[in-house]
Amino acid sequence: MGSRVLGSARGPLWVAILAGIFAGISTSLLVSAMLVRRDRARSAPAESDPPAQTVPPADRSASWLRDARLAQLERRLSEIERQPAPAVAGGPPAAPADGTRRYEQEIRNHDAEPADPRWAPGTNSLIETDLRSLAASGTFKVVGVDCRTQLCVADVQWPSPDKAGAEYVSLVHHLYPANCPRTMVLPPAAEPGQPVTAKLLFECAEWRAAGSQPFRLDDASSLAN
Amino acid sequence: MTKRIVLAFSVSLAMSATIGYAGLSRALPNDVRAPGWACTVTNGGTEGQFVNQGNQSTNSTLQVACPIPDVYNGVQGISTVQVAILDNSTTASASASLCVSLLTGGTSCGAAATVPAFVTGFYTVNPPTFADWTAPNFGYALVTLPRRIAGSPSTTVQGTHSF
Repeated sequence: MGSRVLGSARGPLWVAILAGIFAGISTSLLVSAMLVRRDRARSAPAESDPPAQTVPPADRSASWLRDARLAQLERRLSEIERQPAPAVAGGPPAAPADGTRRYEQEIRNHDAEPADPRWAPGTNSLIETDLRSLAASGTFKVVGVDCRTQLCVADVQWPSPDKAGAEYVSLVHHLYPANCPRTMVLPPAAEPGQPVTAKLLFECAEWRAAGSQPFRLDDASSLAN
Repeated sequence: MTKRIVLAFSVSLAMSATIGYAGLSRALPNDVRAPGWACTVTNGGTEGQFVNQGNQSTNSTLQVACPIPDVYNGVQGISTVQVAILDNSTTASASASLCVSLLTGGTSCGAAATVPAFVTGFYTVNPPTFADWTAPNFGYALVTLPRRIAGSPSTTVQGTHSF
């Protein structure tokens, strides 16, 4: 009898807690949906926006997750789409997107960097030795390696664009003793049969800060070729 | 009693809203695992050399590329990639680095991390991210598997865990 009285006294409390949980979940969905809408409004150009779709009430939470992901991806894509179109003959030069632009900026940074005589020659040698050994089993030749203070650029040349396309990734994938992040972007397509010269960029700030210890993998040099 | 009801309502509202929002928008989407079976041979190795997630060759090292599926906001939403290796070589080590195919052409790789020479058996390698590990680019883990010691099982890439 006593516990029934106690139970009935706690009834409204449980109702309040359940109502609070329900309201909380609704609020989080509502706030998230508003943020998604705001992201979309910020990112998408008005004329290219697809028409808003009506979502059945039962699908709202699943659709919210989809919307959140889509909104982020759309924002990234719209940033890329806002880049000018690739250059055509006579047209203005194209501004390459993201990674390519960063690569070109780092190449310019390299050119502006002074050479540190305590670090550059040794790192030059580490990179060039490996590249020349790779060249022996490839079709490219090493034009030169130029290390400065924390950036290095290796110029390599292939006899044709198809050879360059087939082999350049191997140069990026190779595990160099100078264990630095490295990037290569091939220049715009040359005429078939014309040589292609490309730059392999090494960004060695962290490796240098860690002491420039050569990275060795016991039998890395025996990679299948 | 009314005060307690209002308090209970407010507390449960605040807690469920916070947990719900954090859970939905942050925690769920960026945790992906992929098996070593998803890796493919690169750099001139042969498909026949990569058997049951391991390098069967007793002559040469093998590089494989293991895709990192980014399910939300591109690879930049992934700050850690763990590469699970079963290193059965007593003479050489496996290593892994993160790479991206740049959206508009080109390839970029980060610094390599390696299984310590004294380790044999299961080990998790944590290759670092790098400047091009950004949203538009497509990420993968580049895993270098040492040659198999004759008479021993191969070193295998068990899978990747990205979050």
